[in-house]
Amino acid sequence: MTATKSSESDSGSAAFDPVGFVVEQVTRTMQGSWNLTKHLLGVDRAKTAQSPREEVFRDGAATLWHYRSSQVSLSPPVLLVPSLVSRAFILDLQPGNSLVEHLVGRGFDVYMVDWGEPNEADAGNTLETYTHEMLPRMVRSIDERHDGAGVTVFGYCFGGILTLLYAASHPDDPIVNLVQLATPIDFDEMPKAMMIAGVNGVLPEHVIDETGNVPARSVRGSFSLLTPTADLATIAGFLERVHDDQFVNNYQAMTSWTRDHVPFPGGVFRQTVDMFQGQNAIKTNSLVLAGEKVDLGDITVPFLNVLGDKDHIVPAASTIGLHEMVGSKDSTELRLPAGHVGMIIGQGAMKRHIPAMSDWMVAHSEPLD
Amino acid sequence: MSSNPRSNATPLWKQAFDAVEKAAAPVMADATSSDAFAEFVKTSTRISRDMAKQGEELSRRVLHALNLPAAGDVAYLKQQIGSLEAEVRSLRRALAEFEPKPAATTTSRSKSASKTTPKKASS
Repeated sequence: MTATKSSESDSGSAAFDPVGFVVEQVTRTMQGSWNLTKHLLGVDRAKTAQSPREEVFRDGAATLWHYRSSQVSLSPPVLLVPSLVSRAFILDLQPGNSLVEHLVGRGFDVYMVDWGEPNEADAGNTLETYTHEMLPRMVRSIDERHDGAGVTVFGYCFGGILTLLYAASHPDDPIVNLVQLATPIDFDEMPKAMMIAGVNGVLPEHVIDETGNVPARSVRGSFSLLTPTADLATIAGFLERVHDDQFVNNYQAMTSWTRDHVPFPGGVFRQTVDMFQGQNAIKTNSLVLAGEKVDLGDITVPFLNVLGDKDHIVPAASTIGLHEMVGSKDSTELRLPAGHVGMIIGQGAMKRHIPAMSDWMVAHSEPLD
Repeated sequence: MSSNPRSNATPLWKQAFDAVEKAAAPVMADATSSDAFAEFVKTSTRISRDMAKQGEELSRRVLHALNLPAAGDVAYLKQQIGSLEAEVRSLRRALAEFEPKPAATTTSRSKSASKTTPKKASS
C-alpha cells in the first residue's frame, strides 16, 4: 500500500504542469460557482421518478402506479411498497439509479404504492387501514388485472412491516412471493435516538400536531439524531465537488429525498409506540390486528428477507432471523454489505445489491408464454 | 476527472472538516442516544408545547374579541373536514367492492408454481 502511494506521488510530481494546474483550478472554480448559483436559485434541478407510469387508482392520499413496459417477460407482477414516512420516489430515484427501472429491465411488470402525504383525513389511519384495507385491495386489483397470476410483494423499511403483517393476516390473498427489505421486527435493537417517544415519558400526544399526525419535521429530526453531523458532512462534500455536474445532479436527487419526509399518520404512530416499541409485538409474535392475532407462521409463500450490515436506521440485529419466524419452507436471508439506502441507491446497489435481490425474484417467477 | 494529480487532491479545508467530523460524529451520536438527551427532549417538548399553548390562548382571546377566527378554530375545522373525508373514503372503499372488475392487462399464466411447489431454500 505504501509502495503504491509512493509510486503515485512520484509519477504525480513528474507529470506536474503548473500552467495546466492553474487553468484547471480556474475552470473548476467557474464551473463550481455556476453550479452553486443554479443550485441556490433552484434552477435546473435534478429530475426524479422518471420511469414512465400510469395511475391505476387512488385510495385517499395513496396512489397505485403501474410502470409502462413493452418488455414484460416474467410473471407474477411485482408490487413495491415503500415506507410510510418518506417519499416513494426513492425506489425510482433517477434513470440509471432506480430499483423500478432495474426490475422493468429484467422483465417484471412493476407496480408501486405511493402513500402520498397524510393530512387530517389520515390522522385516524391505523395499521389495519393499510394491512386490512388498502394493501388487500391493491394486491387483489393487480391479481385481477393479470388474470389471477398472483403478485410478488416487495416491502421496504416501514413498508416492509405493512407487507409482513398484511401477508400474515391474509394468507389466502394472491401473494406468490414476499420480499422484505430492511424490515425492523425487533424494536429492542432499534436505535435509541429513534425511540424517544414512548419509552422516556414523551407521550405520542406530545409529538402529534394539530393535524393529528406526526409532522414531517419531527420525522426528519428523528433520522437526523441518528447521525447528527451527517447534514454538515453532506454539505461539505457538496461544496468540495460542486464543480462536478454529475455529482451535483446525484446530490440534488438524493437530498430531495432525504430532506423531504412526510407526516406519519397519528393512529399508526400510537400503535408503533405501544405495540412495537412497548411490547415488541412482532418479535414476540404476539401482535393483534383487527381483533385477531397475527401469526408470522401463517406466511407460507417463498420468502426473502434482505438486510444491510451497515444499516444504521434498521440495524441488522433488528431484522435478522425474520426468515426463520415465517412458516415458509422456501425462506432465505440475504445479507448485503450496505446501508439502509445504499441497498437500493448508488453504484453498489445497481451493480450488486439489487441484482442479488432480483436474481431471487427471477428464480421465483415464470416466463410468460 | 483531471489528469493532474494535484487537481484531485482533497482540499485542505475539507481535510480539516473531515478530521473534526470524524472525531465529533461518534461523540454526538452517543449523546443523542443517551437517556439524558431523551430527558432533554421530553422537557423541551413539554416547555415548547406549554408556551405555544399559552401563546395560542392569548392570540385566540384577542382575535375572538375582534370577531376573527384563530388558528385553533381553523385547525378544528380542518379536523372536522378530515373526519368527513375519511368517512367518504371508507364509503368509497365499501362501494368499490361492488364495482365491475377490470379486464386483464397482460398475458396471463397460471398461479405461480412457486406457491404450490416451494423451491429449496438457497441460503
